[in-house]
Amino acid sequence: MKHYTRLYWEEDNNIGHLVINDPPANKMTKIWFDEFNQVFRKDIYKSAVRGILIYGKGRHFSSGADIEQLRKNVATRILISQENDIDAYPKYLSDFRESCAYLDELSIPVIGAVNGICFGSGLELALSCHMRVCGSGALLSSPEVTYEFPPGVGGTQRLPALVGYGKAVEMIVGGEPIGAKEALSSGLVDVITDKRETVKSAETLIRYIIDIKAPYTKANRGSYIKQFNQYIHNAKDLKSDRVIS
Amino acid sequence: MNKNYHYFQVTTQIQDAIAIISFEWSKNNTVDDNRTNFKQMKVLVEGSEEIKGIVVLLHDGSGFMDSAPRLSFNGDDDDFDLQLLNFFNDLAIPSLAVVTGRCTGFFLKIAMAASIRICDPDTLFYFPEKSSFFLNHITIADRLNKLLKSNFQKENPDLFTMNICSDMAKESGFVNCILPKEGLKENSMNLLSRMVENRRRYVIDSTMKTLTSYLKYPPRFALEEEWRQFCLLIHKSFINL
Repeated sequence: MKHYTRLYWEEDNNIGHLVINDPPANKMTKIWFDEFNQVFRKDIYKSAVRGILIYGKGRHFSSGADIEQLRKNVATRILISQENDIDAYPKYLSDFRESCAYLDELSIPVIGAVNGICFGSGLELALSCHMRVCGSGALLSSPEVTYEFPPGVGGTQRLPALVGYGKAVEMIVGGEPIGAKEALSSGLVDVITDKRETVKSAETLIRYIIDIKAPYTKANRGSYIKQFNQYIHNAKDLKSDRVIS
Repeated sequence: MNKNYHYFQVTTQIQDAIAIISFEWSKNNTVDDNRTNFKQMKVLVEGSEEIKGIVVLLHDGSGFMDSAPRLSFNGDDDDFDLQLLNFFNDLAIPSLAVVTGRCTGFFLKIAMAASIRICDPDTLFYFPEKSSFFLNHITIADRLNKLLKSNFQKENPDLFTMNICSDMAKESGFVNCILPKEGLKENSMNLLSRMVENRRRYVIDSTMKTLTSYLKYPPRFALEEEWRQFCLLIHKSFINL
């Protein structure tokens, strides 16, 4: 296990666990962003795992970025020209965007296990995953506009691709949270499970996909989910039979 | 010179911070009436910093099914329908199309140009061939790719070549919700108001700019625009504090 102060990376039987480790809120501070970027450079790029699970330690996935820190760090690090163009961007956030894009494009399954609160940058990290397993009672939201700025880490592109353009406008401009059931019906998450079993269910899903001998493609996520739901339905001896979909 | 008529009427009113634009099937409107109405609508919406959203009422486009007249006939009006579609497509504030009855032809295109769509339980959508054009070089299929949930489009590739009921429109992500016919206009106004109230206009503009870039540009350019708007607005919000 590679232990940082705000998250950790652990490889267990071919699955990489990337855990946001700053409970209870798992807030994304500057230290967290720096460590996240380090994990990618030092651990994930070099890893031979066949799937990645991302989740938060404790009851919540993540409440998102520390807004006051974010404001100050971005405002003091960007360089704006006289023509209102940006000549320099804050590096730590550029790196975070690159890391999320890298996750999105990986050719191994990347699954987010979402429990509790999943807001702002937390939601954008979850959107970078190929699939999302959601615990009952979770709340997902893109509230950036309530702080007077739009999402900046792919949310305005990945969210409409999943839920359709109209729903994305409603979520991003409105900034209101949605629950697990609405997240499932809108296509934001793929499976709902008992909140006590979220990580375990996500792990079962990722193992199921890894065990399919055919090469993995993100575009087939719909069929993986269907097959997995059928597999769970049929496997009555499995402990995680509280999966609901 | 013979003159064709435009078979709809457009009226505009403002209520709180929302502009309400109503399109109604009407055989009595002339080309000039609509050009005037459109100009007034543009001036009202584009000239006002107070307006934060638009509700577009599309009352039953079934008249289009009878004769499907072109919206313009005279040479200088050829781009009138394009002007209308581009107006909605390029808006910097969210627009909510409220659709009742049969939605087809030009009304369907306006609905597809809006940010959000809402309908009542009896609404039917009549889609033309997917290869037909929505706006400029964009086909109906291109636009649907962006409007619908990703998985739905993939699993139901032929669905939008036929008539779609309200339930299917909701399931696919084409409409956000289905509301009862009674009170539809007021409920739609409330929905949009809740989204945009307490938001500053420049924040809405910037957010919609990044969202519409998803519709218009390849992903790489859209992500760059998102990044730019994000940093500019954070900088502005920091200075405002």
